[in-house]
Amino acid sequence: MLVMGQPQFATQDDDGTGDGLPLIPEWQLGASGSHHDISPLGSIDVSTDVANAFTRLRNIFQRARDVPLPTTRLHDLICFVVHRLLLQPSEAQTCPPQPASECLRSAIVLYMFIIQGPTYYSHSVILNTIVTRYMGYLTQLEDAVPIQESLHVWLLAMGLVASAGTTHHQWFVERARCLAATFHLGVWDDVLSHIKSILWLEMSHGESIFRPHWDTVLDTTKPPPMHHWYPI
Amino acid sequence: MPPQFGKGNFTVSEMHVDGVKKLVGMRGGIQCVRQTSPLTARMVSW
Repeated sequence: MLVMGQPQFATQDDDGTGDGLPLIPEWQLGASGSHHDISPLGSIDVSTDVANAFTRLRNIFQRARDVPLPTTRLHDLICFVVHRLLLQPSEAQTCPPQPASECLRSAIVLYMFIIQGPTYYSHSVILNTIVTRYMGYLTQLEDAVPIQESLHVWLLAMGLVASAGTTHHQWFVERARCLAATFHLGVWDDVLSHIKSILWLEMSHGESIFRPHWDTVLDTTKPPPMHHWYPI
Repeated sequence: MPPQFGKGNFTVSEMHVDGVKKLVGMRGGIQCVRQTSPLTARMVSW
């Protein structure tokens, strides 16, 4: 996948059947049939496959606060989720991509890569490809609908970290600065509470990955840029 | 495979990937590879 830029193997289905990358047992725990609780996302409309992945991941990560995932289990989960989300369902190929779904799909994939870090090979190429697409979808989403505050913070947080060290990073920094000014985010704890309300895996080094970028964003010595999606 | 990809030899890289997929298929799929060699299955997936 890292070499070709897209998954080369299918995944098992949610029942654990099929000849593909296997799901982890936790994937099926806390699943609620066809009902996906996406209320944390506000009023945006996302496709079934994205809502499914989001809901299950949320359940898994909340459970992991009490029963941490072993390293290999987490690795397998990440590999599975990335493959699942980058393998478009057949109906998506006949319909135009919806910005909300594709934005969330990309953001979840970015978060998975962030959590995993480099594995056997560098993921910088595929990460950059996804970030570039992500910027387009995020722009479309911002132009289309008001985004729930916590979700917007989470979306930008993923972009900030995933784009670190690239030419795209400043794009995210400026948007995050504008958002911080609009919603009066003054300190890292304000940001973290938003991020945790969407999708967050507690890790020993989790905050240290995200915080430095937000410290830069929240540096009040620099004035925030104006942006059209939130009148200040 | 990674050295070829790193040198920009995408055609060769693609051949490697196709070869790996064929090998996995001959072994009964990624699940079967995983049962006999979990590390190989994990690496191949990425």
